[in-house]
Amino acid sequence: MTAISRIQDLSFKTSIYGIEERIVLDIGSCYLKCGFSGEARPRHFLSMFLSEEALDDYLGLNPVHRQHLGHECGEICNERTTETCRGNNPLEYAELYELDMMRRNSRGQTEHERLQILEERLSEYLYEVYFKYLLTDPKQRKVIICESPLAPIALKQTIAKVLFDKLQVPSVSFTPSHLLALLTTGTATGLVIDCGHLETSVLPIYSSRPMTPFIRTTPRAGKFLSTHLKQLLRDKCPISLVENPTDLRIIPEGMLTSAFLETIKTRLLFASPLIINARDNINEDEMNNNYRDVSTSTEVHVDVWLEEEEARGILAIPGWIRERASECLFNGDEDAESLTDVILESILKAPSDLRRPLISSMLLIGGTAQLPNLQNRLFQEIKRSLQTNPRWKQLSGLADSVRFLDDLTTGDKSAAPSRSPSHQSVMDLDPAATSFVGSPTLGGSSMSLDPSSAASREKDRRAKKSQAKKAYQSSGKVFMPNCRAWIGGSLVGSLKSSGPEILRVNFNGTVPDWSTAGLTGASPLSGGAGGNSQHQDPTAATALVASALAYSY
Amino acid sequence: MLALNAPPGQAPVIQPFVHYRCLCSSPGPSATASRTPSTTRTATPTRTTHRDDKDMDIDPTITPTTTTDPTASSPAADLVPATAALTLHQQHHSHHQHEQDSAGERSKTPAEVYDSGNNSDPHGSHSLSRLYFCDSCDEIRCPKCAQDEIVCFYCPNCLFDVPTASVKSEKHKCSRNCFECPICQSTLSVVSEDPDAGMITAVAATGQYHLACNVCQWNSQEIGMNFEKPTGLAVQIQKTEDSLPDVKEFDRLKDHLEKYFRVHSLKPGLPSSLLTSIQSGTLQSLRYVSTSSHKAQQSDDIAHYTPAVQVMEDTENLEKLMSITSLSETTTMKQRLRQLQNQTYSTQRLQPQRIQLRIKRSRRCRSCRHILVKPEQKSQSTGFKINLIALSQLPNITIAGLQPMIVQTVSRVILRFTNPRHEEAHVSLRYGDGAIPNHGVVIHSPSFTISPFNVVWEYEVGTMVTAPGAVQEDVYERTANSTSIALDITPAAAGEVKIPLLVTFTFKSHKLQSDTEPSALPTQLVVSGSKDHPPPEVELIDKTVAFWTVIGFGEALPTFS
Repeated sequence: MTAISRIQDLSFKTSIYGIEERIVLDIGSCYLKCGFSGEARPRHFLSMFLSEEALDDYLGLNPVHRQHLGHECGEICNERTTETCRGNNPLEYAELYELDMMRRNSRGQTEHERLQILEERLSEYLYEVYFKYLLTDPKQRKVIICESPLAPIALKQTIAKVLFDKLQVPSVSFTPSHLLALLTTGTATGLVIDCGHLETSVLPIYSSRPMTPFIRTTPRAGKFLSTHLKQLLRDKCPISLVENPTDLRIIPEGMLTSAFLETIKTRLLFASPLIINARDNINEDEMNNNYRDVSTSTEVHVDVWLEEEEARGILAIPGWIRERASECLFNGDEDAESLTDVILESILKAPSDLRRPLISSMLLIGGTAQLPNLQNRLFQEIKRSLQTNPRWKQLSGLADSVRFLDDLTTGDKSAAPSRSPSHQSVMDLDPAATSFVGSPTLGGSSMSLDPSSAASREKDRRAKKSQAKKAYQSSGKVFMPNCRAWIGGSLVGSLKSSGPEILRVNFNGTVPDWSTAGLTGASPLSGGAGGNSQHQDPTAATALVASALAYSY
Repeated sequence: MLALNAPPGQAPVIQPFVHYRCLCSSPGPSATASRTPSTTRTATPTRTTHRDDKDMDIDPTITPTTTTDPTASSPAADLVPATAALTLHQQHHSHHQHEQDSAGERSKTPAEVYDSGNNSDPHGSHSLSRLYFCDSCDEIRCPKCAQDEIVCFYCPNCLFDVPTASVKSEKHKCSRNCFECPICQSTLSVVSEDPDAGMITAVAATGQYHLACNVCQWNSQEIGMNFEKPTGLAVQIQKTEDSLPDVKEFDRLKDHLEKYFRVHSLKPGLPSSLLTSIQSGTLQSLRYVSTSSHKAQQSDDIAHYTPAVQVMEDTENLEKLMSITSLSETTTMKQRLRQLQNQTYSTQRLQPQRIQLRIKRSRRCRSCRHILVKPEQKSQSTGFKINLIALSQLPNITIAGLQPMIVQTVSRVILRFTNPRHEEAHVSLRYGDGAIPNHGVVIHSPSFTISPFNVVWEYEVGTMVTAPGAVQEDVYERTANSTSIALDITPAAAGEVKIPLLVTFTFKSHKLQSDTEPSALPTQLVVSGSKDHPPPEVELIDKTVAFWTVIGFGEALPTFS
């Protein structure tokens, strides 16, 4: 058995592409992950914030060396950057892009200007990626890019433009990052929650099909947390002078840069394990007092340099801020829903027979998910919402199957043969099952039949497996949430697969996107031939139904 | 134009600068100019007004690339009415097009250059030290319009040349004994246990070498890392790196997904088409996929390796994090991102990392594919095989004297032009009046020569040819291989004063065979020296290069009134 599979492996690996590894890039708005496919972790994880030294300089901890601001200057650092490095003013390189690239931003830059800045920065970063970090010739290797389904098309186009025109890579393929992240758990069905910097997006994936119509997003993510933290620091954390500790100062606005906030965020914050129930009309100050009263965390002192007074100061960040700053992710409002709400909303939108498989295989990825204890807290919040919030009454039956794919629960350790029967029965008895199959009966049957039969087979297998050997159900937190999408890209790349490939010779400035592809597939006639002309399977009718289904939600 | 450098709410300190513009990132020859109707295409010989008679008889053959722009040649030309100037440009242009039709890509004429860079936008301009000068295109090349190529890999610490074959397997890191400190990223050194007599024998079994940082005093014994031999440490560390749980898990997943993908793809190429249909976002062919994927999932899930420690870490992390009192107790992002497998918060769990290799690069001109700069192959040598940096070929402009700028007040600045070439060169200047705001600029002596560079002069600082100060028909000051001229600037508006200046630089150059029509004359120095022609006239031709500079003179203060 093994010998045969070895041989097959060999034939698979030496396909027409040879053993050439591809470059996998995950270009986030704050961090860029890069590396070679087939490796278990990104080679480099680059920050677009100030370097640490620069931050220290900036905080005034070594006021003598006030230079080298900007990113870490290398040999390829272009003149405009060195110029700013030389300047006295700290340059804040924060987000590479924003989601509203098409609009005039607060600084009055038009779309064109913003894209130009983006292109310039991207080409600078990607140049460094190739010649300083990966040390490889861009012309030789294909590129896989992990893309968020809601990334602006202009961003994708700019990335492709830089890669093709400036670096002359042979091909680029955009591959959905949620799916890639999910593949790192070994399954292809799950609810992927990408809690990044600009937004949190929740995407159900079933059998490696991202169900993009059910995607839900909220701005409650890293940037939102930074803004909230900034407010808290400004209001609640005065600076005391070292010389005269009773002399308090409000933290200067210039100090609260995004790099400074990022430092506090990544080094001091965590999600409190304790949920405090808020009364409906409690005001924020009261709530903060509550937080303060129950807090058990220590206060952290940060040395800062007060530029104007030329004095050393101490910024004391109380424990309750450290544990409760992330509370803003769980408290939603109409403008920005909480993480819990978008997750449950996405589940509610999904076809009813998929709800349980989805909620019992959630995966939290993204940079903000690195916040210690965030996942546990989210788990509790979801359970609590399901049990107590009338809005999610319809889903309340799912409360006991809430599970993250990378959590090792007690059930996992006892290999859970008892769990799957209940799993199965509740799924069939789901009261909402009929209401959501909806109009396309064909699609309904095709969708509800397969999972159930598969689930029963899965049950058999599990039972068999648990008798044979205590198998792990989940690999635990082997991979860091902020690397998962990249690792998935690496995995897919090593299997010589990826999203649709754009060759350099064919590049005309446009890139394929699910949104534009959906438009071409919108007419039922072209639906079958829209995305997959290679499929000659008898899915013409199904495709029709499925696309109809996609539009009915 | 781009507010990239300006943090919100803070005005940067404006400093004087001299930037050379590379045409690659400027808007380029304006669309109107390139679409000039071809009515003026009369194949006029554009050898219009060459200024120097002695140049005339030397180079009758070289046409567009070496033509001096007549409008830039003398101050009088500035007075040419706009229409006349326009026709001249068009003539130039039409001829140039002819040339392009026949001879392919040629460099731009000064007129075209003039059109393309006539504004004071410093976008896409660089200081001279960052630029190259491609001598087959006769154009400035910036790092962006050059293509990089890898020459060799080396370790920046031990300067060992790493053969390309082993670079990839060693993960682009030094495989010898070079490590960086996990705390401060400086280089670690291998040290042995205290050479106290009794000690060595006692610990010999466990290993008596460890890594120590000389900067932050970090020591690998803190994390229980000891070595028996002082060599081959990298191999050991790489081995542990490669046997970490995530690597194992990854390999498992790969095997696992391979089956999954193969179940899907009875014919090759379907896995990607599967993902293609995912792209469409609709739920097409769901039935097909879901059945087969569940078949695949039958053989799934078994293959999971679960390290329990990974989960424990999280709670431990949290408890620790709840009770810290200073920032230094947690790792910085930088430290964490060097250890991507666990990105630990705890400084005790950081491991030393092997040092990342570096490369030597060569650069090629993107348009003519000639090499601009190529270092020697060995990592120890700092020399270059080919080195077409702009500093050694174009006049270096420095601001030698600067008066504070006040709006509507004349202030004098001195620009010094230094000739890096071994031949005398001629420079003419023209102010780009298309800049906004259009400052009043008077160039005293817009056309002048610079003496050749001579190594001997390096040691004779301050050899005056003329006394400074007096601005007459001649230049402001003339020293060894540099000439200074004076500019009178009347800032039109407050704010940063930067002016575009078109520099037309004429120098003698070795005639390259590829440059001209195939001539029977051998142009190599050795060969031509034996001919009866006087050697200099034969082998040297005049070349003219026009390029834009943007010169900033700092901030203009508003008038006091």
